[in-house]
Amino acid sequence: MSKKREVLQGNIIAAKAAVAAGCNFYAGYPITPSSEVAQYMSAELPKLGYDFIQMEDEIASLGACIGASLSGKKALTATSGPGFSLMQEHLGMAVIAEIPVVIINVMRGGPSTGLPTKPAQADMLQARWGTHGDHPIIALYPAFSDEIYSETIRAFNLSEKFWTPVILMMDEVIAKAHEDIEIPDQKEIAVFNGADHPLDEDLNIYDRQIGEIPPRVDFFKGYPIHIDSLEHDRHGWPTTDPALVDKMQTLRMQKIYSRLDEIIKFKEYRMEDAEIMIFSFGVSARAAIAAVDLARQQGIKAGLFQALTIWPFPERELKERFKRIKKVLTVEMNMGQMKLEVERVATDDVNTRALLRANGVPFTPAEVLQSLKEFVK
Amino acid sequence: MSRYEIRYGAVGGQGIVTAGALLVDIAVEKESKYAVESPTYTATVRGGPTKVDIIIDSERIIFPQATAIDFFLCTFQKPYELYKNRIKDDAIVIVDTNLVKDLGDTKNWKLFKVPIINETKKQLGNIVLTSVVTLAITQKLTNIVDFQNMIDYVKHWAPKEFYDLNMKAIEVGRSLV
Amino acid sequence: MRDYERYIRYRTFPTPWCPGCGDGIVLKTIAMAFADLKLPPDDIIVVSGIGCSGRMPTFFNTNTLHVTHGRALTFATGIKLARPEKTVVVISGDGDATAIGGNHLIHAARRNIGIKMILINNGIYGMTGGQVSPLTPQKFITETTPYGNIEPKFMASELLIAAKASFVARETVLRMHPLRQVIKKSFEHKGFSVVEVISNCHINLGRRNKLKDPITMTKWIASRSVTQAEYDKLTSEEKAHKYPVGILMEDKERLEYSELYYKHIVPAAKEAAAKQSAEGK
Repeated sequence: MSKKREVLQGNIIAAKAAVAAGCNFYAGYPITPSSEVAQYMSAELPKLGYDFIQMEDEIASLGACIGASLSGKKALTATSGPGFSLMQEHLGMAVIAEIPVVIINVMRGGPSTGLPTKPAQADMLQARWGTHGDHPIIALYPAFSDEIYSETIRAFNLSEKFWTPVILMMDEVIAKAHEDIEIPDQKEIAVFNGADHPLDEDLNIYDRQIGEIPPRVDFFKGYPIHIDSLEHDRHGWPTTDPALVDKMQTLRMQKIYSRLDEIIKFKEYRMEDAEIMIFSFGVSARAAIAAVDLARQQGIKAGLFQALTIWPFPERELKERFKRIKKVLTVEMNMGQMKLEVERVATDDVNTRALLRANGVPFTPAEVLQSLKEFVK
Repeated sequence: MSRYEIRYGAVGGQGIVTAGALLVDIAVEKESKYAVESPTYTATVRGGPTKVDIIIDSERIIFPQATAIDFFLCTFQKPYELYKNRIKDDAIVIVDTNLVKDLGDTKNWKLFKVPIINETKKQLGNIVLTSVVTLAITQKLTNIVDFQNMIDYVKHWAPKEFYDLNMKAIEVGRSLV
Repeated sequence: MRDYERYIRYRTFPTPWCPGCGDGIVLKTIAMAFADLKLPPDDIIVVSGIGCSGRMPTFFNTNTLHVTHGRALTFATGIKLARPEKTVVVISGDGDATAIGGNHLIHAARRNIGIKMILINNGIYGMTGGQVSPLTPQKFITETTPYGNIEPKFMASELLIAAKASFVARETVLRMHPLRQVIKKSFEHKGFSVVEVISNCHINLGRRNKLKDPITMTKWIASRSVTQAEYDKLTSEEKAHKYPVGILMEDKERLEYSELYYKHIVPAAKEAAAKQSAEGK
C-alpha cells in the first residue's frame, strides 16, 4: 500500500517543502499569485518557534531574509514579477556577499503590473541577468506537483552548499493548481547544512581555492566579521584593487561553473529514438509531454528535454543531444527568451524553431503538436 | 477510466473553487485517482469572471488544464461566453436558468437549465452553499466520484454545526437535475 | 588602550571622511557608549547603507554589515528577529534614511523593532558630491539646487515620533558628552530607538552656503539648537530656524516587536497546532 496521496496547491507544496528543507525564516510582501506561500508560513512557522514577518515591500523582504541568513537562519521569500523586479537589488547583494537565500518567483504576465494574474514564463532572462553586474545564478523550474516539492528542497540545499541565492521559478498554472501529491517522509529528505567556517582572528572569511565551496560564515560566532555589498577582499573589507576584484569575481563564478554536475538537472521523455526534440519547462513542458505522445501516434518521432535547472543553462547536455538530433522546438510562454540560449548552443546543422506566446493562455498539447507537424514538413 | 474534464464557470463568490477542491479531494483521497484543479483568476475580488478546470484520471495527469471538456457548469452570462470554448460536442452542459440567458450554439450538448442560485438561496438560505449544490449536481450527472464517498467526505470536511445544512445542500443539488 | 578602543577596528583605517567631519566624533561616541555598557563585541552588529556615514561600520570591531542604499533597516530587521538577544545598531545618513530608505524608516519605527538607529543628519548627500537631501534647509545652494532649494525639509525626529518610534532624541556633534549619554540611553531602550545627530558637512554643504569651515558651520549648528522648553516658547516663524535637542520621546511601556512575536504569536500558533492535532486535522 503506497503512502497517502493528498491534494495541495502548488504554492503550498513549495511552502511545505521549504519547512522540510529547514527553512526557519520567512519575510515577504503580498502579491498574487504567490501569496499562499506567505499565508502558509505565517500560520506554520510560529508553531515551530520560527520567524515570519510581512515587510513593507519586496526590497525590504529580501533584505530581511539576507539579514536573517547571516544570523544563521534558512530564509525564504516568495513573490511575482513586479516584486521580483524590486528584489533585483538585493539579489545582487546576496550574490556579491555570497549569502544563501531562496526566492520563489511565481510568474505572471508582464511587463510592469501586466496581467494580474494570468500565467507567463517571461522572467526567465530577468532571473539570469536582472540584477546589475556580472554574476552567476542558480534558477530551478519544476512542472509537476512532486517536482515542486523536490526542487524546493534542492533550492535550499544548493543555496546552502554554494552560498548563493537560488531562484525557484514557477508559473501561475502550476503554483495555483491543486494537484495530487504524495509528500515524502521527513526521514527520506536529504537536507544539506553547511559547516561553520573555522574562523580565527585573521578573519579570512572569503579565502579559498578557485572551485572550492565556501564554508558558511555567520555573525555571532565568536569573531566579529564584516560583510559588505561592496566588492571586498578575503576579509570582507571593501577593495577596488583590480587583482583582488579579479580573484573574487573568479571565485564566485567558478564555485558554480566548476560544479555543474551537482547543479544541472533535467528530465527526458521519449528521447531515445527522437528525431525532433522539444526544449521546454514548467506548464509548457506538460503540454509538450502530451504533444509528444500525440505526435508519436501520427508517426512523428518527437521527444522532450525538460529543464529543471534553468540557470546555469544545461548547455553541455543540449550540445550532446544536438550531435544526433537536428531539429529543436523551444516552447515557452514569452516572446522568445530561452530560445536564445538554445540557438546559442545549437550547432550550425541544427534547425531551431520556437513556439512562443505571452498573452496569458498556456499552450495546449494540440497547439504544440501543430507546431511539431509544421516543423517536420 | 480515462481522462475526464470538468469546467465550472462563474463570477467570484459563487463557490466553484470550493466545489472543484472538494471534487478533487474526494477523487484522490477516497478513490485513489489522480486529479488536478486549475483555477483561473482575474483579481482576487468578488464579482470577476472565474473558471475552474478539474481533470480526473486513473493515471497521472500530464496537462493540467481542460482541452476537451466533458462537463461544463456555468452560473453567469459573462463567464459562459468567455469559457464555453473547448467543450466537446456531446458534453453535459448545465447553466443557471436565470443568469445565463443567451446560449448561442448548443451543438449536441446534453443541456440542463437549472435555477441553481435561486434555489440555493430559497431552500438553503445561504449562497455559500452553492459550492456543495454544484458538487452534488456534478456527482449525480457524471458519477465521476462515488455518491457515498461524497457524503463521507463532506461529512468530514464540514464543521459540525453545519453538517445538516451541507447534507441538505447535497439533496437540493440532486433534486435540481 | 582605552576602554572604548576595544570597539575600534584599527586595521581598516584610515577613514574616508574629510578633515573636520562630524562622523569621526559619532564613531568615537558610539564606541564609548558600547564601552560604558560593557557589551561584548561579538554580541553587537552594526549595519549601514550607503553614504559617508555608511562607511562607519567598517571601523567598529564588532559584527558589521554594509549594504545597499537606504536598506540597512531591512537587513537589521531580519537580524533582530532572528537573534533578538543581540544589540543591533543601524547607522544612516539623512539621504539614506529619509529619502531612499524613508519607507523602511517609518515602518521600523511603527513596528517598534528593537533596532538602535543613529541618524547622522548633515543635510546633504556628501559622498556623491553635495546634492540636495530631504533634510537640506530651504534656500540652500547645492549641486542640484544651484538656484536654491525650494523644498521644505523633514524634521526627522518629529517624523519618527509621528511614526510611533518609542525612543527619539536629537543631539549635535558639538555636544559630545550629552551625545554619549543619549546614545547610551538609546542602546538600553528595548524598542526602536533613534538618535538624530546634527552634524557638519562644511565641504559639500557649508562651502556653498557661507559656512565653509568646521568652526563656522558647527557654530551655526549650535545657534540653531535649543532645549525643548525653549523651543516651545518660540513663534512658528522662529521655529523654522531652530530645533529642539535632548530626548524628545521615550515610551518604556510598549513591547518590542520580537518580544511581542515570541510572547504572543509563537504561543498562539502552538496552541492552534495542539488544537488541530487533537481534532485530527
